[in-house]
Amino acid sequence: MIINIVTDYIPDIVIPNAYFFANYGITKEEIISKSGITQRRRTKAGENTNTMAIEAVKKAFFELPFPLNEIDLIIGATYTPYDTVGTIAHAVQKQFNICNAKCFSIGSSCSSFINVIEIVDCYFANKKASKALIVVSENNSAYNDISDKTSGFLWGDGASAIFISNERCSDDDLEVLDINTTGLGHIGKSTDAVYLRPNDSGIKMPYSKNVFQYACTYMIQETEQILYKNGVPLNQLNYFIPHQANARITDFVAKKLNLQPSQVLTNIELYGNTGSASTPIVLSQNWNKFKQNDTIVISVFGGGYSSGAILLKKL
Amino acid sequence: MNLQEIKTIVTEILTDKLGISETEINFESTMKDLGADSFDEVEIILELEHKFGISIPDDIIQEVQNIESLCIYIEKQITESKKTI
Repeated sequence: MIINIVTDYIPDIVIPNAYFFANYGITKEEIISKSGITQRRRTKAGENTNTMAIEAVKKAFFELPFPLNEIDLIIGATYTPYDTVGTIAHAVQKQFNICNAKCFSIGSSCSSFINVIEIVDCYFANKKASKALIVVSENNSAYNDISDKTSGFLWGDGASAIFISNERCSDDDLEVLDINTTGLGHIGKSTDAVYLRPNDSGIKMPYSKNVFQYACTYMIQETEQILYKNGVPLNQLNYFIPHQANARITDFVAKKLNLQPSQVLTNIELYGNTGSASTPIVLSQNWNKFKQNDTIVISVFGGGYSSGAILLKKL
Repeated sequence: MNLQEIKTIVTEILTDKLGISETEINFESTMKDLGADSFDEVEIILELEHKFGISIPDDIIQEVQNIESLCIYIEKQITESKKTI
C-alpha cells in the first residue's frame, strides 16, 4: 500500500496564548509549561470540518496521483463533525462528484488516522478498492469549551487529505510497511478521561493525568513493537511523528525512545492539538524533507482509549 | 529489594526529574512540596514503573500521603508481583 500524497489545510485565524490570559487569567508561561503550545488556529465564520477537508483535497489538485474519478474508496475521520448524518466523507464525495466510491466516516478520536489506514489496507487486500482518499479534519473550536482552564487552551483546528493506492504513482511515494492499532477501552479511565457529549458543554478532560500516563506508555509501546516486528533498530529510524497531544507527552515519549530532537517532527507549538488530523498534518508539512529509504513511524493515542502506529518508508 | 534500596532509586529519579539535590528530599514531603506539577508526577510514576517493573495507577499520588508512603507502596507492589510470578 502506497501513500501517494498528503496535503493539509490550516485555518488563518491565530489564537495566541495572550488570549487566554486576557479572558481567563491563564498566563502564557502556564500554558507553555503545561503543554508547549504558543498559539493555535481556529476556523472563521463559514468554515467547518467539511470545508477544511475540501480545502485540503483542493491543495492536491496540482499533484494528483490519479484522477479523482478513479477513487473507489473515501473514508473520513473526525470527532468534531459538522454534520453527524451527512459525514465529512460524503461532503467530499459530493463536492468533487466522485461517483464510484464507497464512502463512510469513522471515529476513534485522536487515533482515527491510523485506524483508517488499517481499514484501507483491508479493503485493498480484499480487492474491494484500489485508490482511496482519506480526509481527516477537526474543528475543535466548534466544540471546545475555551473557558475550561484544564484543557481549553489545548485545541486547534486543521485538516488533512491523504491519497493512497495499491501502486506507485510518483517518485514522492511513501510505502506503508506495517500498521497496528489497539483498542484500549478496558484500561484506566478510558471513556471517562476525555469526552465530548451532546449538550454537555464541549470537550472535557477530567482525567488529564490518566491520559498522559497511558498516552506515554502506549505510544512508546506501539513504536517499539512495530520497529521490532519489522527489524528496524530505533537508531536507524529517520523520523518519528507522535500524536500532537501535548509537548510534555511528545518530549517524554521521545526521551524514553532515546530519539534525537532532529528525529522528532512536531507542530503542536504553533497549531495546538488538532486531534486525529495532527499526525497527517505533520506528515504533509514535512513531506519534502523525506529522502529515499527514510523510515518514518507515526504513533498515536486517542481518547476512549486506543493507540496505533504505522511504519512508512520513502521510496 | 528492601525499602532503603527503593528509596535510593526514588531519590535518583526525583533529583533527575525535578532538578533538585538529594539533600532537598525529605521523605515526609509530597512531590508537590518538592516542586512537581501534575505532569511531573505522572512522568515520575512512569519512570518508577519502568525502573521497578510494576504498574502504578496515576491516582496513587493522591492516595499516598508522602514520598515515604510511595516507597512503601512500591515495596508492596514488588513483593506482590513476585508472588504472582
